[in-house]
Amino acid sequence: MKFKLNVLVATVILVATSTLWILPLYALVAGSVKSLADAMGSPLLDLPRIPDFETIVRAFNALAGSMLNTAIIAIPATFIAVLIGSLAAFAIYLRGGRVANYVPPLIAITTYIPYQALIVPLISLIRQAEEVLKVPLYDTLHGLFIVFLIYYTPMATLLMFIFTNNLPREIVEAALVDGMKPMTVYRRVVLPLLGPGFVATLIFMLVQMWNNFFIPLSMTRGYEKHITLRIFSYVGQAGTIYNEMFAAAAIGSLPPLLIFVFLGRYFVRGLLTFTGGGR
Amino acid sequence: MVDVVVKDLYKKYRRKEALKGVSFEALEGKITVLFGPVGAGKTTTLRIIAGLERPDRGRVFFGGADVTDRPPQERNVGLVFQTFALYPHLSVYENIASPLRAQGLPQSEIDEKVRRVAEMLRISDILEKGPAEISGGQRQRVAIARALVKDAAVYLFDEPLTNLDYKIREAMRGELRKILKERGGTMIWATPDPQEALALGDYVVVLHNGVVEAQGEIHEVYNRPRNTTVAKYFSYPSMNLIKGVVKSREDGVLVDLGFTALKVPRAKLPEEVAGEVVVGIRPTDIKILLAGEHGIWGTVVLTEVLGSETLVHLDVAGTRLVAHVPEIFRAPPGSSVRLLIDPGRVYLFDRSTGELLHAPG
Amino acid sequence: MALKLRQFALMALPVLLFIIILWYGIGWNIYVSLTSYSLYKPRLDFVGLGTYSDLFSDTAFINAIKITFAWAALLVLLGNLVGLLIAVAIFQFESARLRSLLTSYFVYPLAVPLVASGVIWRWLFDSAKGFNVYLSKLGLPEIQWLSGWNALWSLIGVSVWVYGGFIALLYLAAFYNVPRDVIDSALVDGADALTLMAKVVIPHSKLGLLLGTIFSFLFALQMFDLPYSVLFTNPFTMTMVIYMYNKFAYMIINISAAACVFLIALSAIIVIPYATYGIRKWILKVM
Repeated sequence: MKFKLNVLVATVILVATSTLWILPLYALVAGSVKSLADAMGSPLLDLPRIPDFETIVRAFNALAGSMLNTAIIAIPATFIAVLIGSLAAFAIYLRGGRVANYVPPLIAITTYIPYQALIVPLISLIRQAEEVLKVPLYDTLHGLFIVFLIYYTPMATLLMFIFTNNLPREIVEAALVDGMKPMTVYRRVVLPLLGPGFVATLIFMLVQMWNNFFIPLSMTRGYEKHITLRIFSYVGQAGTIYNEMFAAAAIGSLPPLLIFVFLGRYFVRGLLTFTGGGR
Repeated sequence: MVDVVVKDLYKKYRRKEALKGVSFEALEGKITVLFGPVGAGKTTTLRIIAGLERPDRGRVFFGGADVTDRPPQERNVGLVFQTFALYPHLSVYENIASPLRAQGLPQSEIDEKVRRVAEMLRISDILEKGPAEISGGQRQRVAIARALVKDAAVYLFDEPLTNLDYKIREAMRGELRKILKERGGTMIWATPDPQEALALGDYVVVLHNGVVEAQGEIHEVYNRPRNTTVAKYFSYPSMNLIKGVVKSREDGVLVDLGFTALKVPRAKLPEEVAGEVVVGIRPTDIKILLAGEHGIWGTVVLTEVLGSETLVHLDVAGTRLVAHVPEIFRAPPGSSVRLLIDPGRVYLFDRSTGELLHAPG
Repeated sequence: MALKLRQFALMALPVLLFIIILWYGIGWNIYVSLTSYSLYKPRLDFVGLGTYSDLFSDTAFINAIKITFAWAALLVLLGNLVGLLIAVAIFQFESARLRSLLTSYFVYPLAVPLVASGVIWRWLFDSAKGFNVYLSKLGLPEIQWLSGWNALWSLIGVSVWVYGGFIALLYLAAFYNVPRDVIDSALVDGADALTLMAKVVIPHSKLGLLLGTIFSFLFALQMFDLPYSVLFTNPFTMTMVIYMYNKFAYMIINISAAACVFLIALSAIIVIPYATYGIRKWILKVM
């Protein structure tokens, strides 16, 4: 086997950096299976003396409610956002002309500016809507759902527009010439061909919604309506006991991490497309 | 099946003016060839007729009705793309059936029509395959089948043979004309190949740089090219165009070409034309003599063997000429040959306007 | 051309609606920032630029600006360095599968909720139980990771861990786009790995640098979850978003809105050129 210096150096660098990289995850997992006594006594990075799963069970029970809430909001919101986003993206694509030239950059600007800067007016709007519709929205699951939708649909539209734009133009044109109406073209030709792009957008956005902290923090009181709030609720608790906190963080991070492990390909594709336009 | 009329089409892209006032008629039931070199505006014209592009100015009429503002899905056009544009996720059968499904026809009717057209194009055996599994030539047939399967107002073909290798191209020409005539309908076929045009078309529209240079019955346009542009491009091989000086006009025209003089019989020039003219000689009308004493001396610059014929590029006393030999002919560059030009086959064009002054026969 | 206006409006309506709402939000911010609206004065009295003068005379806000900019500068610098290093290392391997696996590995911190990361790192930085235990075991001096300005540097380091893999991903994507024949001709000319990287691959990867910088900057501007979950409103790690949120939590709406306007304006410097030129050139392939 040919001796390649560059591969050797690369391996050394990667082994070093990857050990550093996994450290927090290791600490998280190790910490969450430590018993109370163990956690009080031993420093963070030590392995647990005897793994104790009671902590995890307790944390899971504590988190179950907020995880369910998050799933109830995030999963439908993701699907709806990506569906209407892809429909709009296709409409922009077909319309062409000035619309296709100016609207996507407009959507991009809306997506890339710090979203937190718009939370205050949004909440003020929600408050006004509450009065007009006589329906409570602030600090409710459906209110949070609506705000997620407002924030994340433009991002979904941008992503879907990039994917749609990358389709071979003539195939869409052939469908039109065949006599298909735009919605039929979307259903029979565009959607099947968009497949992986569609899924990538879904996965990427699902993880974003699950991990979002600022929106639930601003839109609700208490800690129950979203998983990130629940994890946050452990912070600031005085004392030297980190095992339950870590168990909670671990369980709360499990869904997106699992998605990342099994569907990582799509997450990365969504990420790359969002930050530089899918190549 | 309708007449297609385009009037005064103008289309400009970012920097390029693709069409500058294109008008022509494609008669119903006839095959009209849209001829022109690369960049002439053929694809743009077809796309405007199909509704995939809007002209900046000008109108499109199907059978008298103005369709310019109608979107493509409402025009009932059959279009064969240069790149075929087959649906990669559907089988050949579904590709062909697509326009019929869009019309909402019942399955039995769809099945009958698809199989009939597949039979016509000899692709019945690949109906269940996917586009990725078949050859280029087969994909092209599928694309044509998809266009022909419906009863369209007009069928448009955008250089469908260009992406195939030339042996298949030649073989398909004859077969296609038969199929197209059998199918019937108004057809517009775009191509940059004069031989293909002559093999397939009834009428021709010669397009060059976004302008219609000539239109009419195809053999007439070919044999009587309206001007030097048509003569140069719509001719296989490309016509030799040489400057000549008119020496006398009695009983035909005597033209001095420098390396020889030709007496063009039965040619009459209008009064205004004096001095120089442009003489057109088809390479097929220049004979290379292997022996004998008559003829003009010329030096071989290079020989281009194309299949079973040869184009010989010659330098004749400073003038470049191309001669056509209907068999494989090899002569080393620099060798001398004798040429014979038949004055009865010579064209004359106006020196300044390029317009046709005299055509043989 | 293929879509009539009415049908377009129908298909695009919800999205257009949301976008209008968000732009209404920008306008609202500008409007309210010019008033005295707050919990103490719930009236929309126009005060012109008075709110802004209050904002910029607040030392806490000036600090927040400095902190956010420091964060941006360091994240851009360190993020690009670490990202480039990892990318170059990964690129040395021939197997596409291995490269893909390694890249995903380094990107994993992005899949973890930032508050969870905050929880972990808060404890890794703990003086009694975290890194310090191992530092002293190795005979090295203990570091007060979260005290004073150290807190800022520590958290910036954490953000390099969060985003470094992503930046490596951007570089790798740029590397893969280097035309094969350029690499091949360099190899034929006898270039070794180092020369290949330095003279051929990296110069072709300016796009990776550009995107890495743009997004590091944007991530720094949005920095909230991490510092807030570790140190709340600690003045040494109070980014602009934390400041703004704090004002909002105390219902001093006009100052919050003014801070938002400033934040949007800052990001616009990068976002508007990228969204208009970048998107059109690289994504729409419109020149």
